[in-house]
Amino acid sequence: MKSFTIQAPVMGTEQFVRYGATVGDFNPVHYDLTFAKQLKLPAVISQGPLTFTLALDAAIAENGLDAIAGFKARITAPVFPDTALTITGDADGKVTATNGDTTVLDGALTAR
Amino acid sequence: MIPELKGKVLKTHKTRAYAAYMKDLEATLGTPTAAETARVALFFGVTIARDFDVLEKMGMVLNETLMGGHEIAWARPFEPDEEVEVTVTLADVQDRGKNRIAVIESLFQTPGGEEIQRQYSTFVHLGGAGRGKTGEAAA
Repeated sequence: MKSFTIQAPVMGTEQFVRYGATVGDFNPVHYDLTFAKQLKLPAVISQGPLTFTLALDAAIAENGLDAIAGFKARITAPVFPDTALTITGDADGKVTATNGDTTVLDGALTAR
Repeated sequence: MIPELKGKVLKTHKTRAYAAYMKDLEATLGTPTAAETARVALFFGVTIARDFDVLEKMGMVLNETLMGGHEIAWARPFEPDEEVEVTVTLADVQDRGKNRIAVIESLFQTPGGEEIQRQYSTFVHLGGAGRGKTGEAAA
Protein backbone atom coordinates (compact mmCIF):
# COMPACT_ATOMS: atom_id res chain seq x y z
CA MET A 1 0.00 0.00 0.00
CA LYS A 2 1.06 3.58 -0.56
CA SER A 3 1.76 6.05 2.21
CA PHE A 4 -0.35 9.19 2.02
CA THR A 5 -1.77 12.18 3.85
CA ILE A 6 -4.98 13.69 2.47
CA GLN A 7 -7.33 16.40 3.70
CA ALA A 8 -10.82 14.90 3.50
CA PRO A 9 -13.65 17.04 2.14
CA VAL A 10 -15.32 18.89 5.00
CA MET A 11 -18.77 17.55 5.83
CA GLY A 12 -21.44 19.79 7.34
CA THR A 13 -24.92 19.04 8.60
CA GLU A 14 -26.22 19.18 5.01
CA GLN A 15 -23.86 16.37 4.04
CA PHE A 16 -24.86 14.37 7.13
CA VAL A 17 -28.50 14.64 6.03
CA ARG A 18 -27.68 13.70 2.44
CA TYR A 19 -25.59 10.73 3.54
CA GLY A 20 -28.33 9.61 5.94
CA ALA A 21 -30.88 9.75 3.14
CA THR A 22 -28.62 7.63 0.91
CA VAL A 23 -28.02 4.84 3.40
CA GLY A 24 -31.29 5.09 5.34
CA ASP A 25 -29.79 6.30 8.62
CA PHE A 26 -32.34 8.72 10.00
CA ASN A 27 -31.01 8.88 13.57
CA PRO A 28 -31.80 12.45 14.68
CA VAL A 29 -28.43 12.75 16.40
CA HIS A 30 -27.07 13.43 12.91
CA TYR A 31 -29.33 16.40 12.10
CA ASP A 32 -31.38 17.51 15.13
CA LEU A 33 -29.42 19.83 17.42
CA THR A 34 -32.06 19.68 20.17
CA PHE A 35 -31.86 15.89 20.19
CA ALA A 36 -28.05 16.00 20.23
CA LYS A 37 -28.03 18.40 23.17
CA GLN A 38 -30.34 16.07 25.09
CA LEU A 39 -27.52 13.55 24.80
CA LYS A 40 -25.12 16.18 26.18
CA LEU A 41 -23.42 16.61 22.83
CA PRO A 42 -22.42 20.14 21.80
CA ALA A 43 -23.63 19.60 18.23
CA VAL A 44 -24.98 16.96 15.91
CA ILE A 45 -22.46 14.28 14.94
CA SER A 46 -21.46 12.56 11.74
CA GLN A 47 -22.55 9.02 10.97
CA GLY A 48 -19.71 6.63 11.79
CA PRO A 49 -20.02 5.00 8.36
CA LEU A 50 -19.62 8.43 6.72
CA THR A 51 -16.28 8.99 8.48
CA PHE A 52 -15.40 5.41 7.50
CA THR A 53 -16.31 6.17 3.87
CA LEU A 54 -14.18 9.33 3.81
CA ALA A 55 -11.17 7.37 5.03
CA LEU A 56 -11.82 4.59 2.52
CA ASP A 57 -12.18 7.13 -0.28
CA ALA A 58 -8.77 8.59 0.56
CA ALA A 59 -7.24 5.09 0.47
CA ILE A 60 -8.90 4.39 -2.88
CA ALA A 61 -7.59 7.70 -4.24
CA GLU A 62 -4.03 6.66 -3.43
CA ASN A 63 -4.10 2.92 -4.05
CA GLY A 64 -6.90 2.41 -6.57
CA LEU A 65 -10.05 0.40 -5.92
CA ASP A 66 -8.62 -2.73 -7.57
CA ALA A 67 -5.82 -2.93 -4.99
CA ILE A 68 -8.19 -3.12 -2.00
CA ALA A 69 -10.47 -5.94 -0.86
CA GLY A 70 -11.68 -4.50 2.41
CA PHE A 71 -11.42 -1.93 5.16
CA LYS A 72 -11.92 -2.31 8.91
CA ALA A 73 -11.93 0.56 11.35
CA ARG A 74 -12.73 1.57 14.92
CA ILE A 75 -14.60 4.81 15.43
CA THR A 76 -12.75 6.42 18.34
CA ALA A 77 -14.30 9.88 18.70
CA PRO A 78 -17.33 11.80 17.43
CA VAL A 79 -17.01 14.04 14.39
CA PHE A 80 -18.91 17.31 14.48
CA PRO A 81 -20.06 19.37 11.47
CA ASP A 82 -17.47 21.28 9.46
CA THR A 83 -14.54 19.38 10.93
CA ALA A 84 -11.40 19.22 8.82
CA LEU A 85 -10.19 15.62 8.92
CA THR A 86 -6.73 14.52 7.91
CA ILE A 87 -6.54 10.98 6.55
CA THR A 88 -3.18 9.24 6.82
CA GLY A 89 -2.20 5.88 5.39
CA ASP A 90 1.00 3.87 5.64
CA ALA A 91 2.68 1.09 3.68
CA ASP A 92 1.20 -1.59 5.96
CA GLY A 93 -2.33 -0.46 5.15
CA LYS A 94 -2.96 1.29 8.45
CA VAL A 95 -5.30 4.23 8.00
CA THR A 96 -6.16 6.91 10.55
CA ALA A 97 -8.41 9.94 10.50
CA THR A 98 -7.53 12.79 12.82
CA ASN A 99 -9.01 16.10 13.85
CA GLY A 100 -6.02 18.02 15.10
CA ASP A 101 -4.54 15.88 17.85
CA THR A 102 -7.64 13.72 18.17
CA THR A 103 -7.84 10.40 16.34
CA VAL A 104 -11.43 9.80 15.25
CA LEU A 105 -10.87 6.62 13.22
CA ASP A 106 -8.25 3.91 13.41
CA GLY A 107 -8.36 1.36 10.63
CA ALA A 108 -6.63 -1.11 8.36
CA LEU A 109 -6.97 -1.94 4.69
CA THR A 110 -7.03 -5.46 3.29
CA ALA A 111 -5.02 -5.76 0.08
CA ARG A 112 -6.45 -7.76 -2.82
CA MET B 1 -30.84 -7.07 23.24
CA ILE B 2 -31.01 -10.69 24.19
CA PRO B 3 -27.93 -12.91 24.05
CA GLU B 4 -30.12 -15.75 22.77
CA LEU B 5 -30.30 -13.92 19.44
CA LYS B 6 -26.59 -14.59 18.81
CA GLY B 7 -26.21 -16.25 15.43
CA LYS B 8 -29.82 -15.54 14.49
CA VAL B 9 -30.95 -13.72 11.38
CA LEU B 10 -32.42 -10.37 12.40
CA LYS B 11 -33.56 -9.22 8.99
CA THR B 12 -33.62 -10.13 5.32
CA HIS B 13 -34.20 -7.49 2.70
CA LYS B 14 -34.30 -7.29 -1.09
CA THR B 15 -33.20 -4.09 -2.78
CA ARG B 16 -31.09 -2.76 -5.63
CA ALA B 17 -27.74 -1.00 -5.75
CA TYR B 18 -29.56 1.99 -7.14
CA ALA B 19 -27.47 4.07 -9.53
CA ALA B 20 -29.26 7.15 -8.22
CA TYR B 21 -28.01 6.44 -4.69
CA MET B 22 -24.51 5.93 -6.06
CA LYS B 23 -24.76 9.37 -7.65
CA ASP B 24 -26.06 10.83 -4.38
CA LEU B 25 -23.13 9.43 -2.43
CA GLU B 26 -20.69 10.54 -5.12
CA ALA B 27 -22.08 14.08 -4.86
CA THR B 28 -21.93 14.08 -1.06
CA LEU B 29 -18.27 13.03 -1.02
CA GLY B 30 -17.38 15.26 -3.96
CA THR B 31 -13.94 13.76 -4.57
CA PRO B 32 -12.40 12.50 -7.83
CA THR B 33 -12.71 8.90 -6.61
CA ALA B 34 -16.17 9.23 -5.08
CA ALA B 35 -17.86 7.29 -7.89
CA GLU B 36 -15.61 4.27 -7.24
CA THR B 37 -15.99 4.54 -3.48
CA ALA B 38 -19.78 4.68 -3.84
CA ARG B 39 -19.72 1.26 -5.52
CA VAL B 40 -18.35 -0.41 -2.38
CA ALA B 41 -19.66 1.85 0.40
CA LEU B 42 -23.20 2.31 -0.90
CA PHE B 43 -25.00 0.54 1.93
CA PHE B 44 -25.03 0.47 5.71
CA GLY B 45 -26.41 -2.99 6.43
CA VAL B 46 -27.95 -2.11 9.79
CA THR B 47 -30.26 0.47 8.16
CA ILE B 48 -30.75 -1.45 4.91
CA ALA B 49 -34.54 -1.24 5.29
CA ARG B 50 -34.27 2.47 6.11
CA ASP B 51 -35.26 1.94 9.75
CA PHE B 52 -33.71 0.88 13.07
CA ASP B 53 -35.67 -2.36 13.25
CA VAL B 54 -32.47 -4.41 13.64
CA LEU B 55 -31.36 -2.46 16.71
CA GLU B 56 -34.86 -2.43 18.18
CA LYS B 57 -35.11 -6.22 17.84
CA MET B 58 -32.07 -6.45 20.07
CA GLY B 59 -33.52 -4.05 22.63
CA MET B 60 -30.96 -1.39 21.84
CA VAL B 61 -32.12 2.11 22.63
CA LEU B 62 -31.01 4.50 19.93
CA ASN B 63 -29.97 7.32 22.21
CA GLU B 64 -27.97 4.92 24.43
CA THR B 65 -26.07 3.33 21.56
CA LEU B 66 -22.75 4.26 19.98
CA MET B 67 -21.10 2.88 16.87
CA GLY B 68 -17.75 1.39 17.81
CA GLY B 69 -16.51 0.13 14.48
CA HIS B 70 -17.29 -0.94 10.96
CA GLU B 71 -15.83 -3.28 8.39
CA ILE B 72 -16.53 -3.91 4.73
CA ALA B 73 -14.98 -6.85 2.87
CA TRP B 74 -15.94 -7.06 -0.76
CA ALA B 75 -15.57 -9.66 -3.48
CA ARG B 76 -16.38 -7.01 -6.07
CA PRO B 77 -18.04 -3.57 -6.29
CA PHE B 78 -21.81 -3.32 -6.77
CA GLU B 79 -23.02 -2.89 -10.32
CA PRO B 80 -25.40 0.05 -10.82
CA ASP B 81 -29.03 -1.02 -10.34
CA GLU B 82 -28.22 -4.69 -9.74
CA GLU B 83 -30.53 -6.66 -7.47
CA VAL B 84 -29.17 -7.33 -4.01
CA GLU B 85 -30.38 -9.60 -1.23
CA VAL B 86 -29.25 -8.70 2.25
CA THR B 87 -29.14 -10.94 5.32
CA VAL B 88 -28.49 -9.25 8.67
CA THR B 89 -27.33 -11.49 11.54
CA LEU B 90 -26.29 -10.90 15.14
CA ALA B 91 -22.75 -12.28 14.84
CA ASP B 92 -21.69 -11.72 18.44
CA VAL B 93 -22.87 -10.19 21.68
CA GLN B 94 -20.86 -9.69 24.87
CA ASP B 95 -21.21 -7.78 28.12
CA ARG B 96 -18.19 -5.70 29.08
CA GLY B 97 -18.60 -3.93 32.38
CA LYS B 98 -21.88 -2.04 32.29
CA ASN B 99 -22.08 -2.05 28.51
CA ARG B 100 -23.18 -4.57 25.93
CA ILE B 101 -21.23 -4.95 22.69
CA ALA B 102 -22.98 -6.31 19.61
CA VAL B 103 -21.46 -7.19 16.25
CA ILE B 104 -23.91 -7.26 13.37
CA GLU B 105 -23.02 -9.01 10.12
CA SER B 106 -24.67 -7.91 6.88
CA LEU B 107 -24.24 -10.23 3.91
CA PHE B 108 -24.95 -8.83 0.44
CA GLN B 109 -25.59 -11.36 -2.33
CA THR B 110 -27.07 -11.53 -5.78
CA PRO B 111 -30.41 -13.36 -6.13
CA GLY B 112 -28.33 -16.26 -7.45
CA GLY B 113 -26.33 -16.48 -4.22
CA GLU B 114 -23.07 -14.83 -5.35
CA GLU B 115 -21.49 -13.00 -2.42
CA ILE B 116 -20.79 -9.35 -3.20
CA GLN B 117 -19.73 -8.05 0.19
CA ARG B 118 -19.95 -8.51 3.95
CA GLN B 119 -20.13 -5.84 6.60
CA TYR B 120 -19.48 -6.12 10.32
CA SER B 121 -20.83 -3.26 12.41
CA THR B 122 -20.01 -2.98 16.11
CA PHE B 123 -22.37 -1.19 18.47
CA VAL B 124 -21.94 -0.31 22.12
CA HIS B 125 -25.13 -0.17 24.17
CA LEU B 126 -24.20 2.04 27.12
CA GLY B 127 -25.57 0.51 30.32
CA GLY B 128 -27.01 -2.38 28.32
CA ALA B 129 -25.19 -5.20 30.09
CA GLY B 130 -27.34 -7.75 31.85
CA ARG B 131 -30.53 -7.00 30.01
CA GLY B 132 -32.37 -10.24 29.48
CA LYS B 133 -35.28 -9.42 27.25
CA THR B 134 -35.84 -6.85 24.57
CA GLY B 135 -36.10 -3.48 26.22
CA GLU B 136 -35.90 -4.91 29.75
CA ALA B 137 -33.88 -2.93 32.24
CA ALA B 138 -30.83 -4.45 33.90
CA ALA B 139 -31.54 -6.24 37.17
